[in-house]
Amino acid sequence: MHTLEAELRELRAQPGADVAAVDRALALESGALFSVRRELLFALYAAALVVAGGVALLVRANLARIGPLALLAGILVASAVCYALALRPRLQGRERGLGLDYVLLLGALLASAAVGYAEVQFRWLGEGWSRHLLLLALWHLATAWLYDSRLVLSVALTSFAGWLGLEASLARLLDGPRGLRHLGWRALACAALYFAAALWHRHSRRRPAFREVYEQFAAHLAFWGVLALGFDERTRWLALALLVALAWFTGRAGFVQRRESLVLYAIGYSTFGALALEAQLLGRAFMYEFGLLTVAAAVLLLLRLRARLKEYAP
Amino acid sequence: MSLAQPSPAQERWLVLAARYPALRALAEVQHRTGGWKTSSWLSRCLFFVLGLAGASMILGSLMFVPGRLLLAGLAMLMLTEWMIAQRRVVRSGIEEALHVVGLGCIAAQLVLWMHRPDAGLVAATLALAPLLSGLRLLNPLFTALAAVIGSFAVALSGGSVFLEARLHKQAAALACLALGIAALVAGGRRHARPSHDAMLDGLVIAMPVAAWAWATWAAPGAPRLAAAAPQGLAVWLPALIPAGFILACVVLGVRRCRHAPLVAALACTACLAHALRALTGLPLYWRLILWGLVALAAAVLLEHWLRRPRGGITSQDVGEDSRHLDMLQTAGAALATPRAGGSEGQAAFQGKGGEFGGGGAGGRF
Repeated sequence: MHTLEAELRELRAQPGADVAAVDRALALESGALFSVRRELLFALYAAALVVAGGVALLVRANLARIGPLALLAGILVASAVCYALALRPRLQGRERGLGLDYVLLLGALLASAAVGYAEVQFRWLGEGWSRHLLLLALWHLATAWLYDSRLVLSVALTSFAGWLGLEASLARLLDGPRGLRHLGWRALACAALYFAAALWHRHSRRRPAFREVYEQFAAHLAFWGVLALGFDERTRWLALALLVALAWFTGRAGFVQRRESLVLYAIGYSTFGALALEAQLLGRAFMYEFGLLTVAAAVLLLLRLRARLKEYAP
Repeated sequence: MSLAQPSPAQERWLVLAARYPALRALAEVQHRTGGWKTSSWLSRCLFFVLGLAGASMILGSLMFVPGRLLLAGLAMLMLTEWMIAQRRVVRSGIEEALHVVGLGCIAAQLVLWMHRPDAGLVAATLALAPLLSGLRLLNPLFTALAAVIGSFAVALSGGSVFLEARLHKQAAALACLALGIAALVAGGRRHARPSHDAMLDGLVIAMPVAAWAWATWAAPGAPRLAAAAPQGLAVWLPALIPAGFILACVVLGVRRCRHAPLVAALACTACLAHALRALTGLPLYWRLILWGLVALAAAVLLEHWLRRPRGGITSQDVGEDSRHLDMLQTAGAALATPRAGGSEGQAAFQGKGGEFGGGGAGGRF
């Protein structure tokens, strides 16, 4: 075991030190206080996934034996119980804890499974079967707002992206240029919508924690969309221009808001976009040499930007 | 002051700055950290990926050169040492990727030059790469990886990679078990370097899982309550190993206030559940649902009970750096979201709830 108590005591004696923060750190280092929050987080997430996975297998294995309505009712009841449990603290005027956050997530996952099963079984939406994802997205958005839950908001945004056909899978890369082009434009449209939502949350100051979730989704979807466009030779150069603009915009936002993640996305995605472009345009003779220069430039730029980010930190 | 790596005192200041964001500005001053620079885990991941990309470019550009693996490996090592000496980077990802791939290339070249090498010797040679890299760069993941590859060396010694019957799987399981116990015991001693603690932590987490994996591979089947014939130790070993570690790790983790034994206990719980999969005879989905609900209820109750510190243990956030944990939770929820339902002509519902991650979430427990 190691301890940082000596260093913390040296900091405590230093003028200008945040004594409360140092004392809290000293309590942690001496073992007087020990948080198992991360372990509980992992256990809660794994447990929720295991239950959701078990329900999915139950449905698949018992389609013929248990009546579809009975099965659907069972899953919906389980989902409702989860939502009710997560609502209890709010009705009692208390804050919802980490554990009930994941009970709520389980409720959302079960609701998604139930609606998806109902659509496959009963085909209520007919030819527009994929609209169930839109309905799910709206439901999850409403419940995320009601419960003020970032986890359920993530589920909502993923469901909405799924309705637009934006599923992350390696098989998508084999769709061919036309498929990737459509995917690219849809991803960009979705990203624009999420960015608009983030702006609204920023200006309205309502549910402020949601803003970062929207921004994370918007950033990733925008870059994925641009990269997808880059794989089609008809939109390659447009994709390059969009990539440069997006990287500049995202990196600048990262500097202004002091958020390292946005700076990393800007450099990381633009580097891999450049490498993909070089792989398509150059022959094997120079692809590796140019690629090495690209990676070296990216690393140096990233080191420089991170140093500047720290310099301007409050 | 050493050019090769931070001194133990400098390393402690770097760890303090990373662990307590509120104290970072005070901790990261020249005379304390010696000018060494680290990265957050997110930038470390990106730098590592960039390092892997760079390593592949170096390998690719030397594709047609004789002895390319050795040359590429030496080039990567020189580049790493230059970065460490000039930029004073430590735990930044880029130097870690280049160094471990560089040593891996050299090890692979040595293996290629060997004349009909023993499979165990090949594995031992390949294990040297992450071991040396881990010790040089103070990286616990590399040392844990070296131990796992080393277990293959034990299993393959005198055996054959093509003949499963000649793999010494139980010997490998016992070797991993012994190393895990040794790491657990050694973790209780005071170490000057936080990285040495981290290396022992890595072994505490990885070795019980590796021991369980080898014992499972060696076992003729899963233990059953209503077995027709008496079941030997080999059948029960995949359950006994994680069960023993769960007990030891929870006790020691709470007593020492250390996270690694508790993480090891969680991993061993998943291993134990797999080992006892045939005990009750219930179908897989009922086992997943029941045990998942039990785990969820236990975690929820424990979190609620520990909101007020009990014996110093709490479930509250205590001011450690948790920004990236929020991002992980967001990403985890997104990945857990069921994908699109059935399309035209698809007979069975594939809800795929929790397809990503989680023990057993994908139906493969």
